[in-house]
Amino acid sequence: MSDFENVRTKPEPGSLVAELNVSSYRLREQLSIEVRDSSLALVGELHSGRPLLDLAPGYYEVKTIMDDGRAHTKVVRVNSGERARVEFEVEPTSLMERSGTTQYKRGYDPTAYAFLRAETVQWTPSEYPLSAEVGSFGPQDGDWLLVPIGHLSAVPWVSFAAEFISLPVNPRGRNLTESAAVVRVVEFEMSTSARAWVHPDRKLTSAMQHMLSESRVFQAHTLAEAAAEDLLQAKYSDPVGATLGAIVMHRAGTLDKRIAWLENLQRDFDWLPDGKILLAAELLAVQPVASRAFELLTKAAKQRPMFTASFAILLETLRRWPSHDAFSAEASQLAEILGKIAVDVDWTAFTLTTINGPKWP
Amino acid sequence: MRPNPPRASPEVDTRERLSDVWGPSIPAPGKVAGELESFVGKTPHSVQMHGRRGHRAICLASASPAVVQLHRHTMVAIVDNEDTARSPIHVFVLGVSRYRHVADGPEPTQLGENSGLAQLTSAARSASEFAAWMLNEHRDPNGELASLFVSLAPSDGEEIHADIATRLQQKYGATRADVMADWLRFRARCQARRDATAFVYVAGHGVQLTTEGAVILLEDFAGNHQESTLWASLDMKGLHASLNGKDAAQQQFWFIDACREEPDAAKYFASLAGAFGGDVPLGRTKASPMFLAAGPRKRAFANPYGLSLFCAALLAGLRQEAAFSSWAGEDQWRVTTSSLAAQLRPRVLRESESGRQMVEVTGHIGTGAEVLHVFLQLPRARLVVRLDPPAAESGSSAKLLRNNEEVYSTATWPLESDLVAGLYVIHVTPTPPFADCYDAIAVSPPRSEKEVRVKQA
Repeated sequence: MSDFENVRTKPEPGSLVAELNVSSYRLREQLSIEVRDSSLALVGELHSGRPLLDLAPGYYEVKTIMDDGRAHTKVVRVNSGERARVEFEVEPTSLMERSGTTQYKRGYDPTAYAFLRAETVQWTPSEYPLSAEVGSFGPQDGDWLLVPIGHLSAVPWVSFAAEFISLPVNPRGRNLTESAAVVRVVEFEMSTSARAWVHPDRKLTSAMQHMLSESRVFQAHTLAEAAAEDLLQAKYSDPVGATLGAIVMHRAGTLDKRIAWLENLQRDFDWLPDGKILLAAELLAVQPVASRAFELLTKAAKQRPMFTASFAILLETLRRWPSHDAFSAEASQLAEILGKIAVDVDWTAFTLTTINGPKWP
Repeated sequence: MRPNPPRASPEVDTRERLSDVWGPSIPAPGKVAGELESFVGKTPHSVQMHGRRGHRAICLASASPAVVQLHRHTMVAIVDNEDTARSPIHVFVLGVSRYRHVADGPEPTQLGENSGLAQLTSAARSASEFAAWMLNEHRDPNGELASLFVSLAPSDGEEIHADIATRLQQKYGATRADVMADWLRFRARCQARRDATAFVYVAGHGVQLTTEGAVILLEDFAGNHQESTLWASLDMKGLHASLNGKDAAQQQFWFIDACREEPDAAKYFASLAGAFGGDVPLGRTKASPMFLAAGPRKRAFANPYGLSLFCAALLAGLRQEAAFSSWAGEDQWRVTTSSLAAQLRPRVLRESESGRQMVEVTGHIGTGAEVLHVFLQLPRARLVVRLDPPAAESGSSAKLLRNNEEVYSTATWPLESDLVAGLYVIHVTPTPPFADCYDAIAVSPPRSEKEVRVKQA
């Protein structure tokens, strides 16, 4: 058979396109989609809406990690000369997610919600202390929505069953849901706790939190790298999300490229000590003993952090301060004080959860 | 003198085993200390509790009447090859089950008794199993095993992997002197070549106050006249930091399989004074993730005289469950940091049941694409298929095809089979009123489940 006849009888390749039904454009652009052939060998990596061409007819596995942090997989058949389409969508898991964007999208007067405080809570425990800077709304389908009221001077917290939980609210949100944190009561076999989540309308931050909760730390890192500028720019500003992204980048070792970005974070959001902690950690990676780093840590040690991971970095950095250094005695003292808090921290919680009471340290 | 405990088998309930030692005076299940009772009789594989509240039961079960002969350990590198043509792979393994100075040890001290710790029965064995995997099964097409340092302190009756026991020539010991010799040599190797890969696996009693690392207690922990409380211990976070430099092995994998202690015991360790760490270099490696078997103040569980849950899950992942398919080629199927992280946590959480043991991934995690192991053969996975609606299963049969060839057929539901990983087509032939149908299924490790929707004709 001639080469010409070979070409003529070879089946025409097809193509494949995958669509991710995610409302955030940035998120949709960053979530990666993997395509594998019948032996599960990777044949392509693509993004939502962009086709993968020149595929031999046959079955392909299409896989992605969605904003719920979970892997979603579909098998699709590519026919000769045709384009196969596959869609991915995450089903909302609570009323909050299904209806949260409808009523409160455009502006709100925080004082209108001031009356929704602890005394209006209908479920046990009957006392539900809140820090002075947040108001509550709910419950909606088992979730409590907490929003910042006015200027934040410290990381806000909420109390549940003797635990004090840092709240990942966003004081820069454009509306109620984009400012809010969600508190959800979780029943384990031997105990009941509450967990704080970023509201799903804060798409990038929420996706990162879900990915980290599902041990998808590497996918969270990809998102953090891509979203770092967005999270801090005025257009879509979420300092808590930016901090979470910074933690992920610190773990991956890529935060050293963003020292100026970190300086902005810790300077412009003084109430959020996590930025100081991360900046100090990055400075120390370059210079083992740095007075500026110690100054940042000293300030941070007097403030309640947002995230458990930040607190861990703070404590471990102080505990390991070089013994020959002039600051070592002070570092040991701070480590001892924070160490007493550490023994009662719930290390499985995402946001810092302590039983030492609202005062810090 | 107390008799040696009977060797635990998977079928023996913990309570039954303890009664061999305690006799008729064994407490009723409800009275057994703390968390231990939640596991007694719950599963065929009894789990071992370490730490103050459970330790009395354990120490009675594992105490030996014989005087323990302590072998001075001279550094024994099972593999010791300084010059390798390919990128060297250096491995450091430590497993401490025997603790000399704790309450049930051969030379108890006041500090040892106050710590509330007891002998372990799985740490050394688990470490030996990991070492044996590195020796016999690990595969890296670009690398070559250059050094394998193993320090073990097994407790009485603990079984060490035969390949490791033979090579160690029964020279066991995990005192600070023993371990330091191995560690310093290992560290020097890792600092000699940037293209090296390092594996670290340590198991034993541990203390941790945060999610960032752990302190591992060595065999001679709590001895009299030591410089500090933690003199005989390793600060794993500190050791990790000491190797996390731009001039050291650029790819590292750390596994810390440590039991955590309760706050009362942890108060002795608020300061790290004395724990060996090392100087911290500047810069960073490309990747050095650290997998911690459990979070702070959480238990890391084990099967008595068996493997720890973490080790069992890790080996299962490295052998099959964490297999990840990349681009076509000889190294298509591999275990990466990302695939291992995604496999370890849910498996350990599931196996620990109400104990809720949660694996933490910390350290310098890298990109997630770092390769720990490459498979020589295609991995297999368990496939389970059900029909929707379930009524369609009655009388129905199905065939599985791969590349248009039938590989399996059955009329038993749910369909369950171990298959080579890949894409399959299932052809269901149901009984009326349901119609024939086809569907496609991806079978990948560790397990795939599918519900095939069958319509009415």
